[in-house]
Amino acid sequence: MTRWAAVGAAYALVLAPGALSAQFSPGARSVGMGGAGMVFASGVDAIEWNPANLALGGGWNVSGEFGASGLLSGVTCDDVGAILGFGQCDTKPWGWNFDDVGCDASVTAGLPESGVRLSTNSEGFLTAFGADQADLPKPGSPLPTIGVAIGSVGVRVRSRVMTETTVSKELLQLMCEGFDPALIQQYRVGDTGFRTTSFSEITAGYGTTLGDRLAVGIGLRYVMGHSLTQGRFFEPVLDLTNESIEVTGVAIEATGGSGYGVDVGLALDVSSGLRVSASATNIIQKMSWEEDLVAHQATYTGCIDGTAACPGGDDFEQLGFEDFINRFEGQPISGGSLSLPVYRTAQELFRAAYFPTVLRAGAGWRAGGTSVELVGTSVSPRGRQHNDWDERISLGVEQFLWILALRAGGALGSDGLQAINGGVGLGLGPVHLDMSGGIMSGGFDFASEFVTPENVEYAGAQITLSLQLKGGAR
Amino acid sequence: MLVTTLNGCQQSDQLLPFELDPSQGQTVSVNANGGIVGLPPGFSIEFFSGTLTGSQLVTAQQRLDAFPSAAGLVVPGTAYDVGPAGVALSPSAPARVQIAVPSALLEAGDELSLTVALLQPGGSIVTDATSYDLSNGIITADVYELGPMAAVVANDAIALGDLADLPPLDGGAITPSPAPAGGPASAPPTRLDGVVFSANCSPGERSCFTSGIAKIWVDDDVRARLGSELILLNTTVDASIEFFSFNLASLPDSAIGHLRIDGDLRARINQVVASRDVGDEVTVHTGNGTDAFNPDATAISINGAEMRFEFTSQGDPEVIEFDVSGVGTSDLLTIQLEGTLEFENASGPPTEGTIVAHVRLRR
Repeated sequence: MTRWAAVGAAYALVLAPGALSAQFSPGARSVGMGGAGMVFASGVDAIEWNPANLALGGGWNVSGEFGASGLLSGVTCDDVGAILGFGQCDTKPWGWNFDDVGCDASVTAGLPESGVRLSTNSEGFLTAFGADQADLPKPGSPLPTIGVAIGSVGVRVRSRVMTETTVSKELLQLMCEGFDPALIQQYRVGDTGFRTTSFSEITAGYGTTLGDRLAVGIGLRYVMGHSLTQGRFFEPVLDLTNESIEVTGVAIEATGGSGYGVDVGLALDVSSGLRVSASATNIIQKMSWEEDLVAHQATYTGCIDGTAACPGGDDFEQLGFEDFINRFEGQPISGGSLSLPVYRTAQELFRAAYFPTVLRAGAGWRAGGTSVELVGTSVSPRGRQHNDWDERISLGVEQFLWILALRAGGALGSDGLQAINGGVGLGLGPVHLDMSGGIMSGGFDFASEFVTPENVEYAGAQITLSLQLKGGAR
Repeated sequence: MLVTTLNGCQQSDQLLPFELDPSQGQTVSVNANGGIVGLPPGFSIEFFSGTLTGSQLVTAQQRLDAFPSAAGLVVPGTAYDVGPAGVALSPSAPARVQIAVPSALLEAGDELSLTVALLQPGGSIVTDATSYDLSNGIITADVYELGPMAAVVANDAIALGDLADLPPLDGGAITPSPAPAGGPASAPPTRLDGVVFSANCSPGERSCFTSGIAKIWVDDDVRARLGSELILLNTTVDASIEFFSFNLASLPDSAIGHLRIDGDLRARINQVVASRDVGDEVTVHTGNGTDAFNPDATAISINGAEMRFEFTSQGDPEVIEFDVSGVGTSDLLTIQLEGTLEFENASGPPTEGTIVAHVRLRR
């Protein structure tokens, strides 16, 4: 495995666990049900799903949660395993081995020309912990996700880190096969870049009934932005005389911000355990980022070790992940001292740097210990602070068996994304421990009879763990 | 529909805090530790540690006066005055200039000839090897002096031909100078009145492209590494050969001289236009010495279209093809030089490509 592969692996490990969580956030119940779970969400989960449900559940609830989710678009899990040297996903589904596996042109030949995209969403606590372990800069606040709901009122604090990373096909070839001057015509940085948003939210929800069956709710959210970073890599400066390449990366960071959002919800118990539900998140919102920007810039040299043009060695072979990150030097931006790469990168920083309105509607049926939910989610095209997988239709089922809760579900997202999920919960008196996870793909063999794959490659996963104390619910 | 309706309630994009009026100049104090003077969205110049020897107020503003067109066609809106003009920068740590040149402003193929021209206080214009990022429309060049600068499509670009199309050279007679009046007709010329062929061209003076002094071809190995579209930019030819003695058949039997071609081989590598120095590969001088500008004489002999030099910097002996043709009252001597371009490989020996130049010298 080359150093670049190590860089990629470390990046995936640090961000992905933070990435592998909030796929269908909030809540382990929702993740286990394939992103459904809004209709009968209760307690702390209801604060963000549908505040109207606070009026229907009652009782009290204290919750703590960890989780992460990540989605690779344009690449299969096996390809990722080969490029990063982890191993084959299909042969070791629950734990990649770290034996070096071959990565040759056949692996990267099938990647899309537009490159590969990694989207992640993680709890800030996990991301900060991971960064601390790796001795890397902490991306934002380490606030854990905690919440409390009493009766029809609830408050939840959540810290999140969202990332989008795009890597060109040609750069993945470089990672896979190493630098080869004979292939210099093939190397292209393309749209390689990244965007990271780190913020904490405090959401207060309130629900009330209107008559016996109808409930409405409202959620008010304060958003504290920790950092907004836009980064990109520029096409290399090529030195054909010495056959070396110089790649410049630029990241622009807004070091803080603030905003607010308003959610509304509605729930109607129709009859015999049937409930319809709808909510709108960020129906009103505003997000402002600090204008004191910091520019981080780094240059990496690719060259042939031992040649005169390579006195410091080949960065793409030598640099570890920490070295790679630490080479980015931050300087405050002043108007008259902007380089063109910094300016170009900054232009993307504030574009749609706010939260979109998200509409959800669903229906569910509950009888005895069984619940079934069908939920659709639509995301406003304006505002880019959301996950790639947010727009979807989810179907989930939950079955209680004495102290156990078993959950399963699936989702069909936009652009051919499919997900299957499952989860288990253990309830001992007021203590409830729930764990859920799932995988995302462009198509599952067993489901191909029902849902025709759209020939788009995805590889994603999510896992969420929550511990709750609750009681008194109706 | 509801989502569309709600879009109206969404906020608009936040503005950057440094959107500048490009017509306003920038003045920044830069010291020996380096700094950047930016004039977004079109221009920036970065000074590295050691680029300046001391603190200096550096100004940059869009140029209002026309930029001289001697070096080529100036891309509209890309001329900037950077001052104080004439301030010399460290040769070992030149400043890096970046100018936005949207590819839409260029004709097809112009990207290869795109370069940054610097107007010097004396009125001369210098251009340097540059790198052009087609994806982002940014040209990057190192400059060694401050002054007005612009992105120009250079007018001295020499397109490189395919080696398979190399025209043959036919040889010909190199005749001695006529004997001085009153002297013996059969007396060989002395070194002082030998036959001298020479050629000189450069970007700043007589263009090698317009003068036709140099033509160049490369083989498929070079194109496989650097792409099919190749040009030579900033070409300089400095050549002089004196045939100073002739045998009884009036064929030259000794010569002294040198021939050197310098330039930037420009290639489009995917989304980047980049340069490679060409110089040592197509340089030769006579004799065993190492000083190209003070060469030693060597014996020569001619056989058809081949001229055999007993001692040269390229080999002992070195056989060079040539052609002589008459133009008006003068003779043109075309010399064929062949060199090797080496390309490193990740493993194994370097790949060798061939570059051939025809240089036309005038008597």
